[in-house]
Amino acid sequence: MRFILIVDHEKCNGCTYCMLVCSMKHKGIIQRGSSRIKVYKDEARALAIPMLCEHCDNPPCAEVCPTKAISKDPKLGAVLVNQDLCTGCGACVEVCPYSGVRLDPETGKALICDLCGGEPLCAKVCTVREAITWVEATPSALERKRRLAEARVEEFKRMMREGP
Amino acid sequence: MYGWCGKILYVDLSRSKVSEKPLSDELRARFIGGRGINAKLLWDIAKPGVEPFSPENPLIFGTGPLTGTIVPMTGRATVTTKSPATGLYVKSSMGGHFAGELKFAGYDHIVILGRAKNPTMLWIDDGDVELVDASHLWGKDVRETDMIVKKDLGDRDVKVASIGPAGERMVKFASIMNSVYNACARAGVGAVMGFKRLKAIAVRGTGSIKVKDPERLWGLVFEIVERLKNRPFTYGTSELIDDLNEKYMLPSYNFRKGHIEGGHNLSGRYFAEAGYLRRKHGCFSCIIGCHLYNVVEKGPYAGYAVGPEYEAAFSLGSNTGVTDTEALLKANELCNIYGLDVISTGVVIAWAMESYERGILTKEETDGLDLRFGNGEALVKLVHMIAFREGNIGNLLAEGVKRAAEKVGKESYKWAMCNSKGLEHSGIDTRTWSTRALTYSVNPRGPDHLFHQIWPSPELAREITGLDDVSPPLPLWAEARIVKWYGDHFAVTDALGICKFSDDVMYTNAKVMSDLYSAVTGVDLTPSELLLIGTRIYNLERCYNVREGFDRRLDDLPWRLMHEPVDWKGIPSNKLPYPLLAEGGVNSPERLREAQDEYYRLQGWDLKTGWPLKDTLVKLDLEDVAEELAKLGKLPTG
Repeated sequence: MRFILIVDHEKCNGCTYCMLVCSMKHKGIIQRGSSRIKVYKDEARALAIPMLCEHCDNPPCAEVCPTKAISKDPKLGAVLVNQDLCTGCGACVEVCPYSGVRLDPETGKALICDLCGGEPLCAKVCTVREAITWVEATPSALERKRRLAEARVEEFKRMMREGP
Repeated sequence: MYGWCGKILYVDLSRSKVSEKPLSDELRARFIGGRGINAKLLWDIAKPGVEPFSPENPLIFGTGPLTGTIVPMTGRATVTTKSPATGLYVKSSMGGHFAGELKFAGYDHIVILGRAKNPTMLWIDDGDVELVDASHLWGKDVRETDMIVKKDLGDRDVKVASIGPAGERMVKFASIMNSVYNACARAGVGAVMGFKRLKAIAVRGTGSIKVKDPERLWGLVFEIVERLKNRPFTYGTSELIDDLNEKYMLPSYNFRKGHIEGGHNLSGRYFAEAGYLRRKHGCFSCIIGCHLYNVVEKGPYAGYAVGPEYEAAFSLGSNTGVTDTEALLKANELCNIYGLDVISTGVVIAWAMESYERGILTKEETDGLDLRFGNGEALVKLVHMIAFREGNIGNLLAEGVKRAAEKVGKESYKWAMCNSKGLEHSGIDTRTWSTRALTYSVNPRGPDHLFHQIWPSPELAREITGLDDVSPPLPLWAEARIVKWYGDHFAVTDALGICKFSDDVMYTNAKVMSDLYSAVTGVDLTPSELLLIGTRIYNLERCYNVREGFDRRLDDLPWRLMHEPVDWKGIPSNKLPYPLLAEGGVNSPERLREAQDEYYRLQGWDLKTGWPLKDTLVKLDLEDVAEELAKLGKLPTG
């Protein structure tokens, strides 16, 4: 059975712990800018929205990538970046409908969630709130993922419109 | 360097200069970080007898070596200074996201000296640090300040620590707030910031933190995360309200009673039931997130209302006799955005209410407020008046309950809920929870629960005391041992940057803390070596007080707790909170003295003065401190 990552921003408490473990796992240091998740916050209203790759079936980032650095891993369903091919042009950042792509502050190359190779750490550590979960891809789970991603993008856009 | 950033930022507001110095190996080895290093910096930098409101009194911010790593629940920052409320040592700590941001900006500590000519903001943009004009922020509340700073800088991710109108007016119990709703509030740290005309500190940190042994750390972290999963923190500390109220242990009506009808309306559970609770949010790296975010939809108190935690629900609620949820939410919210300590605010208002009901404060003196217990409207108005020092009553209460009682006289000290140190007592009635009397009395900053508390599980109590039967009341020596045990653990916890809500998962577990410390920093310490640092920190804080004029007489409790039993009228005697009820119903000075004697002996302090003995300080590797005290003639040799 395939697994999927489901993000429910209503449950997110904005602690940003996922960003810390994500950067540690992938870079060996703790640096939020190199995390593949970014938690956007409105502190005055205690709102927090984690934005990361939704691993689309037909990822627009892969389509626009001029060097074909982005591909979909057929087994895991993860969108993967070939670091050797990536030039850091940022086209993927622009096109992602989920604001799920960032560029590494040092290398300038695309950072996209790789599902930690099948055991996403962010879900593993979000044990209390379960804002990020790693669940079997049943039809109802897929539907829930779609619904929550839509709601999240809506909320994110509203937050961005309002400015800091 | 692993864990630490390795830098202290020095700010001189008088000369408008900033500089940085390396965090020395010696400081780290002896005091770890956070509260520990802060205390040593205060000792070294503040001259003996420094006026709290003077440019020479340093305001010190500190973070711990675990903050900004993958250890969860490590978002605490400690602020240390000489308190304008007590004239003694104060450290006050806060959650929120400030500490983590500061670490990523590359600083472990900030030392702020001097006084700016005009309202100023310290802007830390990674290594670029500048002092900028904050005239347009002066007069704004904490939430407005936070939002304006983020707009000005065009960055919603900036973290802001600021004072509100109360700090600007140097209200003696003004707080410093960060991430809008996270307070460090005790004993007037915000008033010192206000004196310095430092309105805010904004930080943006994009740097990184390294850890020594990632593999070992991951193992420890996964275990912690797993154990945190099953903790019952549904409504944060406010869960305690119902529990204590049902046991007749909830301080109510200015500590005259232990129970309040309708107390459930003050609890987080009720905020959820009644539909006020929208969501909960968390501090930096805390996967629990215990802060309650409430919204009042309509009526005179409509708006956001974050919190209240247990202490606010007690002090502004049961202690003032107010059970109107919306008035409580509003009063708490005003404390947050005006930058007031909720504990002191509620305690000083309850004192005013009792004085009013006794006819000692007239309606003229209360500026027309009908200050009867239970008047929620008057409560909300008074919070505002205190923050802005409005009218006779606002200005009187803004000085804190000790000074207010001194000014009003007429024996009103008898119901002023502060001890001789001058800090307002937090929400535990030590008569009904008598095992906590000792801890409240010896706390270096004043009578509250955050330097040590007695709340061990029976297993833990057995482990600490070696007793088989640990049902209260415990022998005094055992009580003393428990207080010291907690004191050492708290000091280490605050030095590392851990939140005390982690309970036995981290903060009462020295083995876990030393493992984390070693894995993060590469410095191997056994649990007992780590706790020895805790003892050192705790004794240094005591020594600071000694240097500033402290002696044993200040280790007491509020008059009421030592002399007047709780009013049990109407409560069946089988409901009284035995066996925790103090003998004779009060924390008698005699019994307190006996308990302290045991505790002082255990600590190695002089029984007459309460000052640490020379041998004690030498054993704790505090010779430099001992030498200075010897020069002042304050180093007893026992």
